[in-house]
Amino acid sequence: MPEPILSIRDLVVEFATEDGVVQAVDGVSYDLYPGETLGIVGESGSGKSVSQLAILGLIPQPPGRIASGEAIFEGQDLLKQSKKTLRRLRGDNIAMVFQDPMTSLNPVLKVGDQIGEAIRAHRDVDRKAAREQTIRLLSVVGVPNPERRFDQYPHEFSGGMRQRAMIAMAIANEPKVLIADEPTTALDVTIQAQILEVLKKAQDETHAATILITHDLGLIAEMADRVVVMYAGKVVELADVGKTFSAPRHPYTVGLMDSLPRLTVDEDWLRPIPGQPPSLINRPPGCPFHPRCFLSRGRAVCREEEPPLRPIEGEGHLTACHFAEELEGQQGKLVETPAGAAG
Amino acid sequence: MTEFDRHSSGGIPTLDAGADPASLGPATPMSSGSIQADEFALVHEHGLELKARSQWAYARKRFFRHRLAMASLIVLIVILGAGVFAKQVAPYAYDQQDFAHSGQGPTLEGHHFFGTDVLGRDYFSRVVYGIQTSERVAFLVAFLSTLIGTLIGAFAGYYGGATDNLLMRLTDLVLTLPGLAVLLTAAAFMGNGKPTRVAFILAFLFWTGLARIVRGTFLSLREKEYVEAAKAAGSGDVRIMLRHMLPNAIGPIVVNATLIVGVAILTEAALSFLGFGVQPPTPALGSLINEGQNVSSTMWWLVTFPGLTIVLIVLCINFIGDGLRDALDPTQRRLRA
Amino acid sequence: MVTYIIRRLLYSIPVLFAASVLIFVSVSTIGDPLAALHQNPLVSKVTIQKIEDRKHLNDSLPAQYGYWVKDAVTNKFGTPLLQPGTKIWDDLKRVIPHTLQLVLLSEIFALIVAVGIGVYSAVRQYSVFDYTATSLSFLGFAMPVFWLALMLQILFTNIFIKWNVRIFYTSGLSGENAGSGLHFVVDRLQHLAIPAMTLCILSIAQYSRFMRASMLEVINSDYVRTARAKGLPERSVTLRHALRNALIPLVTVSALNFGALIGGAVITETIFQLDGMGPYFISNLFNQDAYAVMAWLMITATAVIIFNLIADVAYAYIDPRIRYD
Repeated sequence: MPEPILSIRDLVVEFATEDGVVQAVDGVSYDLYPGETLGIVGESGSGKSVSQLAILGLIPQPPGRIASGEAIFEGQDLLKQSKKTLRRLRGDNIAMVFQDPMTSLNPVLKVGDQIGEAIRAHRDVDRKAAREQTIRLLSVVGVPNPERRFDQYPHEFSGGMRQRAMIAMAIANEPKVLIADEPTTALDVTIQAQILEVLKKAQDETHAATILITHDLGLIAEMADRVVVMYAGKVVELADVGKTFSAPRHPYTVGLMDSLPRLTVDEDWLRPIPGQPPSLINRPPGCPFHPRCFLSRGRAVCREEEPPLRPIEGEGHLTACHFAEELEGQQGKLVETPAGAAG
Repeated sequence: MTEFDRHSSGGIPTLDAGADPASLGPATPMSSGSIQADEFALVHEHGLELKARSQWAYARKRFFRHRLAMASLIVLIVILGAGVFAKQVAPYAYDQQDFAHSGQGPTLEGHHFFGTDVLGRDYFSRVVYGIQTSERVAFLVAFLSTLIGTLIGAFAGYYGGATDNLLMRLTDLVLTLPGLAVLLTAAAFMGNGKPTRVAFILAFLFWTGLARIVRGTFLSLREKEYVEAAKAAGSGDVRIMLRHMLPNAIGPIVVNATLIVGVAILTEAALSFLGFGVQPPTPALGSLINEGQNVSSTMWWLVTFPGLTIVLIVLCINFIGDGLRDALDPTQRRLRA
Repeated sequence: MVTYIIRRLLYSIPVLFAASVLIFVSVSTIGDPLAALHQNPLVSKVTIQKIEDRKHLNDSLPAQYGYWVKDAVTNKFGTPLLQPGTKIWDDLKRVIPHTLQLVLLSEIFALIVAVGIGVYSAVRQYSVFDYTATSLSFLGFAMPVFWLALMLQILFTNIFIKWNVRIFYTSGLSGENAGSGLHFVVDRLQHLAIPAMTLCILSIAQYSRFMRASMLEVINSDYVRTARAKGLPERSVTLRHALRNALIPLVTVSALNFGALIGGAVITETIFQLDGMGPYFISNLFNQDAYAVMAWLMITATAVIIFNLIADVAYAYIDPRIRYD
């Protein structure tokens, strides 16, 4: 196994609010290897975006606070770097694509200029060269008529085109890590498929390691190599994508897979996970998932001890459940359909 | 518009949102889905007890947390109370002349806290009576303009279409008129400076800001399903407006009304300063300042104290308005350091 | 863009027209403009008759309106009611620039200061600077303009009395030996300084709060987050991305304010005895010269409409989303 390009260890991120301290990310660890696509799955509020924003120094501090942890990128702990160093990394070595392209682009500046400034912030090129590079990038991401589009404003672009522009902005400096935060959530379903293709193409062009944050399991199935499942600010499972869908070893993941409607079988009822995610203020002890867990069956250790993230069934599959072994041998219901075509 | 009624340029001075009334947004009812979720977990899984809090209790709690607003409330009650109980508070009658002690600076002897004027009248007493006049006018103005503004805004927002258009053009027209000019013109050609009449004239200029806000709220609520349901059930328009829509607008209405009191005090002071508005012998803070104008280089207290009183009153009102906005508009979250 | 301007101009015309009707009707019906004259024993019946003829005061209201508009358009508002020898426009021509000078001085200064304060308060939210600025602007909102004017007058007069040093003048528009050229300008500035100070306090308070709120909203927006994520230097993020968007609403507000101040600096001008729109209005109001008052009202309404237009056009210029509708 090659060295990870990004290593996150025991990251804790808190927010001070009127009602108390919210622990958005509570001791999260995972690695990102070069060239792979790591999917991070979870509900809203699970902490999946916050952990990425925190590493890049994009969480306003106050009210946010990185309480502890490390994020090693190319030998340096990002959490201990100066603002200046982080700034140089952002948009150059580590780039991010955000969720809503309508609000993520500056409405009063031309699209081309916004992409161009990403280039000129990190490379010593003049405006003309930046313009040429931008036009080339726009065509790489599939924006038709890039010379004309360069001088247009975001409101003149359609939703899908804006997201393409955002991706162009992110890959402009050939980043080593590309973080895509819910890149298709704000788009129409038909456009989603197109953007997916653009993302794949961007990956091919830059050979970047990609972190794909989403709550859309279909996207994960299409693009991810490995999957991190997050719940209530913690990592509950980490596995290859195939295993995640076919042999999940955490009750939450099982519940997620179970709740997916299937095309091939007639179902009368959908099966959501009962209950609601817990409040992130003043967490009770024990496993955060236990109030909703079918595996727990009220056992005391679930209520009292927080389960550590530990290996199960060999290398590369981690789970945070006291009784994960009881799931062994079971197959996720999605196994009936060929792997990779889930959902 | 003039220097002083720029305060009410269709919008009241607001802390977080400057002069833009639209940003005072509709107060959202505090039905809180996410809080219920946490409570579900807390109560059922951990057996904890919960205190049910009504919407108003929640607002009240937030208001009390705003220290500056609380302090201002106390100060304001003291000042306005002095005005209400002027007879008891003032050591002298406001027109009692005493040439032996004329032109004195502030001093403790004879209870001339604010000194005396050229005619030997105790200035503290005159200021206290001035407060009385000002608060009478100001509260009347606030009440009237709130009433008018709410009515117009409600009708415009609820009925929309042509009614809305017409009422909004009317609002714009009132806004185009230079306020002071209109006031002075009205005052000059109509004569008579009784406080109530002044209040009426002022109210006719101040309703526009609130009309816009209420209209905004009603417009946005018009499409909601419960309004449709109520209509289908046969509720009359007025009933719908009162029961379903008005409660949502109460927050901004209260905040706005509070701030209008402050603006009204400033405006009335300006009018009486210019010799219009409330006429002597009724003392008004503005005319007191006017009297002190000519001798201001020597008898500085004649100008200073009435002015400071005005500043203090309006300052307190603005802080209270800010606290109210904090309390009643939870969408504007502010993290207190 | 040009079509937008033309469309707005055309829209302004009916508004101007409506304003003129409103002004004329209200002033004419509010009271008998000649009432004071009738009561004055020194004024002969013949004089009154002459005035009535000149202004067609015995005709119907719409006819009077017609004559008034004709006078306004062809004869620059003609003559005042009570002093047939002078022309309204001569006076207006004299006082308007004085007011403009005062307002320009005050507002430009206020804008520069307020943008600075607002941006810094937003960028350093909840800092000591922020709280201080907030408290000071509350103070600014609470101060009656005329009182502030008087207090400043007292202050500078006492400085002069105590130390015999005259920094600024406390009244009047120009000194006796104002001279011309640079000397004149400096003298004028010295006279306008304190009145401008008075006016700008409220503006600074308003604009800085507004700027702060606008800036805060923008700073927390997604596109500023994108700008940071691109690795742009913080100054570029603040100035090029945040400030540009945050200024948009301020431009509108200040343009509207400017228009309002043309007719609105009455108190300040009166206290400082500046020969501007304010004192002109007050004195004609005092004399109950309806025609002078109406001309004044029309000018101020026109100023407001013009600046509304400027506000809209400026907005469209800065915000590309508005241009293409």
